[in-house]
This record gives sequence, structure tokens and C-alpha cells, in this order.
Amino acid sequence: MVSRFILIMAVVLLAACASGPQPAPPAEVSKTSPPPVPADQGTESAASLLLADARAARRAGDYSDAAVLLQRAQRIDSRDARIYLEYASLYRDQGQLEEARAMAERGLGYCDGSVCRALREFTD
Amino acid sequence: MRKGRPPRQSGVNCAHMKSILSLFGKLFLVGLVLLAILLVYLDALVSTTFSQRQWELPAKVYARPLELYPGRNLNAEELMYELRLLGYRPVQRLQAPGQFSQSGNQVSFYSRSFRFSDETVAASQVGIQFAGSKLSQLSVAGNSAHLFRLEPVQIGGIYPRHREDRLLLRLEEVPDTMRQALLAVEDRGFYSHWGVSLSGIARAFKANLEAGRVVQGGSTLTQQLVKNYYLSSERSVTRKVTEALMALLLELHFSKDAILEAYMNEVFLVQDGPRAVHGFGLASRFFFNRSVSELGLHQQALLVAMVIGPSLYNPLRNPERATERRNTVLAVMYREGVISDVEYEVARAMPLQVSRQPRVMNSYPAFLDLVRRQLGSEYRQEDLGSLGLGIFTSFDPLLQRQAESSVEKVLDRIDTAEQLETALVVTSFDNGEVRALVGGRSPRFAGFNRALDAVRPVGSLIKPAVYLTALADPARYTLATPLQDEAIEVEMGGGQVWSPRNFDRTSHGQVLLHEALSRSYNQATVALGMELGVERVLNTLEQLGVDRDLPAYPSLFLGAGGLSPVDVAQMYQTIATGGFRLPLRTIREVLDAHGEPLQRYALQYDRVFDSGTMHLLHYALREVVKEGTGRGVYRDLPADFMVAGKTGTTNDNRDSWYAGFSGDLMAVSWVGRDDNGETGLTGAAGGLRIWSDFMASASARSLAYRVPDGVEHFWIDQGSGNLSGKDCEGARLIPFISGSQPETAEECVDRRRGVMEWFQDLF
Repeated sequence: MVSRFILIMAVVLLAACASGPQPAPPAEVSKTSPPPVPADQGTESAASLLLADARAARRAGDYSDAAVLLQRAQRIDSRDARIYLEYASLYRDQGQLEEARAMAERGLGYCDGSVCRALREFTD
Repeated sequence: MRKGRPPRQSGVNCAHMKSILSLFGKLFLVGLVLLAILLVYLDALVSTTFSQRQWELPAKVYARPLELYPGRNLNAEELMYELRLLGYRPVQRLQAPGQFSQSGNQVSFYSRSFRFSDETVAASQVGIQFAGSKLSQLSVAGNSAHLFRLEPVQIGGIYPRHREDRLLLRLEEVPDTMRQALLAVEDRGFYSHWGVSLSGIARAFKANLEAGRVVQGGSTLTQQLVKNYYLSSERSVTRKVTEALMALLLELHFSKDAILEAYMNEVFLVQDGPRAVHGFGLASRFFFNRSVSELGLHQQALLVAMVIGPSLYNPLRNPERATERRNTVLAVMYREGVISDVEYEVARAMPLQVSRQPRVMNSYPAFLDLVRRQLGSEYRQEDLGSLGLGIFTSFDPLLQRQAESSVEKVLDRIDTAEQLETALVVTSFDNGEVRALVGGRSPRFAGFNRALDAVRPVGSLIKPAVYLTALADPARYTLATPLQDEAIEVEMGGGQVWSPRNFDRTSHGQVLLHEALSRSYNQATVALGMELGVERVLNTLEQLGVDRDLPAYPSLFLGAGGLSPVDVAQMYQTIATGGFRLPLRTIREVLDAHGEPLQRYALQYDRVFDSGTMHLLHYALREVVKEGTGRGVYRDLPADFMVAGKTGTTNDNRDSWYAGFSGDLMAVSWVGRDDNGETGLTGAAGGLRIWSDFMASASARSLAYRVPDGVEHFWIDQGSGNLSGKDCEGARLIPFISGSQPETAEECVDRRRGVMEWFQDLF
């Protein structure tokens, strides 16, 4: 750890001494201590990541890919109501309104706030 | 010359000779034609079958891939268990895929690359930090990451009729030393002969003559391949000739490398129970738990050594003979200049190092059985056994380990005589996936699968269907509807009268509907069922997904008629989701041999009961564990961990059931005897014990649905079922479908105890 720190400092100092524009220090500097991801945000992040990919896939018309991503997101956090909302939108975009409605109704068991309101648009 | 000279002595003789010659000529021609036909036939056989579909490849059945992300419930021991199942080896420093290391709360591993249907995950170094029972930090290739999908464990295969199994190798994956070792030992002239080696035959002939018995075969690798691939092992001249012809033809059509690759994939190496392990690829996994490219010299030599006599030199059964033969191969490698003297000495001194790790393949027969049945309805057996399909399932080895451990622990405690049998089904109710399945007390033994085939009376487990039928009609029934729990006589026809009794042999008079369910009162339930009618209850069961014929008699209300644990799981699955039916599934995806999806299963809910109605039923099933027959679950679970469920006991305590769910898992457990004898156990003493032991270790989430729209809570007087107030004696907060609450109010006797009851947590 210490020797690594000295090495990095040496690289930085050498870089400072050198004349002319220098490339940014290698990304390796951050390798030693990745920024901690708080445990509670983790689930949110992993599912959110997949959710964002699913939304992009749906908008690109890749419905099958979107469904795979949503199912994967749901396995990670089955209580994230946004997944049900996105899945309902996916069904709606494919013209499967019955399925969209049932999916939104299921999401209502886990939602709060604005997500509930968005889900109700499928059920009312 | 002869022909030109007229015969002097005997014209007859000459004519005779002529006819013999012409006969020979004709026979020769016929022979040529036959040979040509044979050649054409063999040629067609060789050139089509060999290139088109070289092998019938079994379907590979995979567990779910373990998803790693910060915040996940997982500890270091569980991760290492999964890595060991995958055949990863503990090391000090990560150098190659398939290795892991641990220090304290940190586990690092070098993953193998894996091709999923939606992405290929490259081999990478993954670092994981744990905090308590959670994964707290994840890094991939040195960078902080949010998600990493580990390769899935292969848990089984579906084999063709001849039960050959193999893991196809490409020649590039085989270490050069191993290729050279094989050639040095089996066929030195491989790259220069035409499929048949005359010098090889001569050499073998000489060696055999000197030894006075067969010590060496004269066959080339090509001939061996032809023999294994097309021909029987019978020893005859015809077979030998056919073999030689086909070897020549094979060489004519295919390159040396293609033939060598085929040989390495074809060669038989070991019998593993019912399946025959062929090819270096699978043999390497089987014996060393690693891929061929990861093998050390001594391991390469061992596999090459086994080619000549797989059973004679089986390192598991005959370690000494195998070592001796391996060292002979190493000596040949050294002599031929494949390895240096130092390498030779080091490799010679190595132990066999055959892996003693627990075998995962086909270790979960109950789950694989369910997979096969679900596949069987959509795929033909011969396709499953030959097309090299990838079957990706929802099986969770970590949950399975917990399930097996709970079953063993509880049964060892309650049944020292070892007479009881059991089954346990675990699903993720949110998507209907079966995650673990125990089919009996010896889960490795592929016998009677009780989870699927033990069709038994379910007793009180059926009751939620009766109460759900009532609650679905809020104009007539609420949780506060008074029922009569008293002696009841039901006409069964033919002059027979059925008079059910309560478990405690006493009647409880007027009770509220929620209490009748949570206390599992038989008489009140039959009275309610008689009001509703058998048909409506049967219809409810069908809506819940029970797909089995049940008796259309009032005894149905108390669980007569048989269901299997998986049937019960389907029923409680629909209850757990809050009224959405999903078929129980084990299969997520089926991929073809090239990794392209053939079939994917969509998540599609079928809404069969109103969320509000289900919320009322959940209330009563939570009461079961808080105040009723299921209280025992809190011997294992923390008091604030919300679950819901129901016990079931059948006549004379023959079957002990429990079915219920937390916030993430639904599980059904059964304990009974295969001979249907008495167990002396109620549902609470058998099934419940297993269920709660399992849930306490496996479930990560407390049950917490949002209160559905259109449901309101009111304070109700426990005795009368009339409206009451928060501070009134005997008052209890109960959910109602809006508008269905009672109108009459009870006179309030102030209690002012300020005790918070569990049902107030609903807010």
C-alpha cells in the first residue's frame, strides 16, 4: 500500500516536472480504493441499471431484449414498482393491453407516490 | 502367348480353363462393382455424418447465475460455496480463470468467461467485500461496479439413449504438450500417413510376436476414430477392412487437425454412473474440475495414459496402475523431446491430483425431474438428448443447500427412528420460479419424488380456499362476519351423516370469520362451506391454479382429496402474489447449440382475485402465525419478521403440512410416511418446523404489501363483530373492503392499556 502510494506520487511528481501537456494520470490511481457504494443503494443501483437498459431497449423496439432485462431486474429487486411500470409499458407498446393492466395492478402492491399514479393510469 | 497357341492335347481342358478364367473375371468385375458401391456408400456416410452432426450432444441444465451487487444478502462462505460448485480453486494469488482467494471479509476470484443469451461476460478479476451478511463492495477488473453475473453451475444433463456425455473441445484449447503426448503414444506417424500405417502395423506385429500376445495395436488414430464412431468392437477381417477403407476416405475429405480434434472429443474415458464420459474436455472437468487448457503436465499425461485402457487405468479405482501408466507416458514425452528432463522429473513426482470435490452433476434429482417433466411437454426426448441445448433454470444451489439442511436438521430431531419422509418446495412468488426442491429425506437419491408425486390429503391447508370464496363476496362476508362453531351434521347421501369435530374436540360457539381461519376451527369452516356450496369452493381452487380432480363433497372443506406439495405450492403461490396466477416454472430460457434463444418465458400475470380480497385473506393468514395454529414459526423467526401461512394436519396425524410465505419466498413442506401410517405429528410439529427453520435462514424480506386501494381499517369488537373504538376493550383493527364494514356499533368499555398490537402495524 505504502510503496504503491510512493510510486503514484513519484509518477505524479514526474509528470508535473515534465514540460508540455501531459496525459491525465492513468485511471489506475482509483484502483486502490474504489468509492464505497452504500449497501442500501446497491440493490437500487443494480436494478436501476437494468431498468434503464430495458427502457432503452423498449424504445428501440427490441421488445424481447427489454423483457429479458426486466425479468433480470425483477429477480434482483422484486419490490421495485418501477420495474412493473416499465413492464406494463412494454406490454402496452406491443398492444397487449390485458397483460399491461395485470402487470400494473401487481406493481400497485409495491409502489408509492408518483409510481403509484403512473401505474393507476394502466388500471383505471 | 498361351492363348495364341492352339491346344494340342485336350480341347476340353482348354475350354475348362477358359470358363474358369472368365468366371474369375466376372467375379472380379462383380467384386469391383460391389467394392465401388461399398466405397460410394462409405464415402457418403463419412462425408455427411462426420461433418453435419458429429455428435449427439446432451442438453445441459444450468442453475441460475449468481448475481453479485452491493446490498445483496450474501456472505463470504456462501460465495465460496458457489465458486467451489463451479470448480474454482482456492489460491494465494489469482493468476488464471477458475481461481479464488479469500482474506477476512474479502473474496476475490478470476471468473471464467461465459456466454449468456444476452451477453458474453468476459473472464475478469472480481473483488468482493462483505459487511456482515451483505455484499458491501464490488469491483470488476479493478473498477468499482454495480453488478456482476457469475457463470451458472451446470446441475445436470439430458442424455441421448446411449448416454454419452461430452464437452466439445476445439484443438486450439488443447495444450501443445498434450497433443504431442497423444501422438507420441498412440500414433507417431499421424501427420504423414494416409489413414492407415503399414509401418505401424509392421511394428505392432513385431512387438506382438516378440511378446507372444497383443501388446500394441497397429491402428492409427484415424482408424481408432472410425472404429469408435461407426463400428462395433467385434474383431473380424471384414470389420478391419471396412475400418481401413473408411479411415482412407476420412483422410481424403478432412484435414489432419479436424480428425485429431474429433478423436479428442470422441475417445471414451470413464463411466460415471449412468453416463459415459467421452472426450478430453469433459474428462478434464470430471477428474480435475478444470478445463483442458488449465491442466498441468502430469494431468495431461494421465488423460493420454487412460486412452488405451479407460477402466484399467481409472485413477479413482486403480490409482497405482494409473500412476505407473502415466509415468510411462511422461517417459515417452521426455524421450520424444516434448518435455525437458526437469519437467519430466517434476511431473513424475506429482501425485495424481484427481479432484475429490463433491460432484454437482445430477446431485439434485428432484429438481431435474421437474425440469424434465416441464421440458417433456414441449420437446421431443431425442432432441433434448442430441441437439446440445442449453436449459437455463431458476434453481438456486444456495437455497437448495439450506432447504436440505433444514429438512435434515428437523427430521433428525423429531424422528430418530427414521421412518418419516418429507418434501419441500420453494418458490419466488413474484415470478413463479421454483428455486429449490427436496423430494425426500435422501435428496441425492433419485427415487420417489414426493414433491411431485406424493398426492396426499392436505387437511386445513385447503381452508384458505373456503374463506377466500366467502371474502370475494364482500356484500355478504367480511373478516368480522360471525360464524357458528358448533356440532354440525352433513347429509352425505345414502343415509350417511358426516359430523366433523374440531381438533381440540370442543366447539367454540360464535366466532368471527378471521378467527375461525386462524384457529383452524373445523365446524365453523364446514358451516361456512355449506353456505357457499362445494361448487364455488372448487371453482376458487381452480382459479388459484390447482389442476387436479378433487371430490365434490363437503369433506373437501377440510382437505379431503389429495394434492402433491407442488400442487399446494401452485395454490399458495397465487395467494402469495395477492391474487395473480403464474404457472410454477423451472425454466427461464432454452438456447440452441449456438447460444441462440429457442424459447424464453415471459412474465405474465393472470389476475384471478381482487387485491383487496386477497389483502383480507393475508390478514387472516398473518393472524395464523401471530395468534393461531402457526405461532411456532416465531421460535425461529424474529418477532418483527412478517410472514403468513397455514398449517395442515390430516386424520390420525398421517400428514403434517405447512404452506406460507414471507416477503420474497413461498415454501410448502410436508412430512409423512410413505406407507401412509400415523406420524404422531400435527402440522405445527412437523411441516411448520421445517418451514420456519428454512425461512429463518433463507428469507431476506419480511412480508410487506402496500394496503390496496379500496381497503379501509376499522376497530371491531371481537365478540360481536360490530364496530368499536381504538381504546375499547376487546377491540381489534381489521381491514374491510370499503363499504362492507358493519354499521352497528358496540358500546365501548374503555381499556386504556395502550398496548400496541401487531395488527396496528398495518398502518
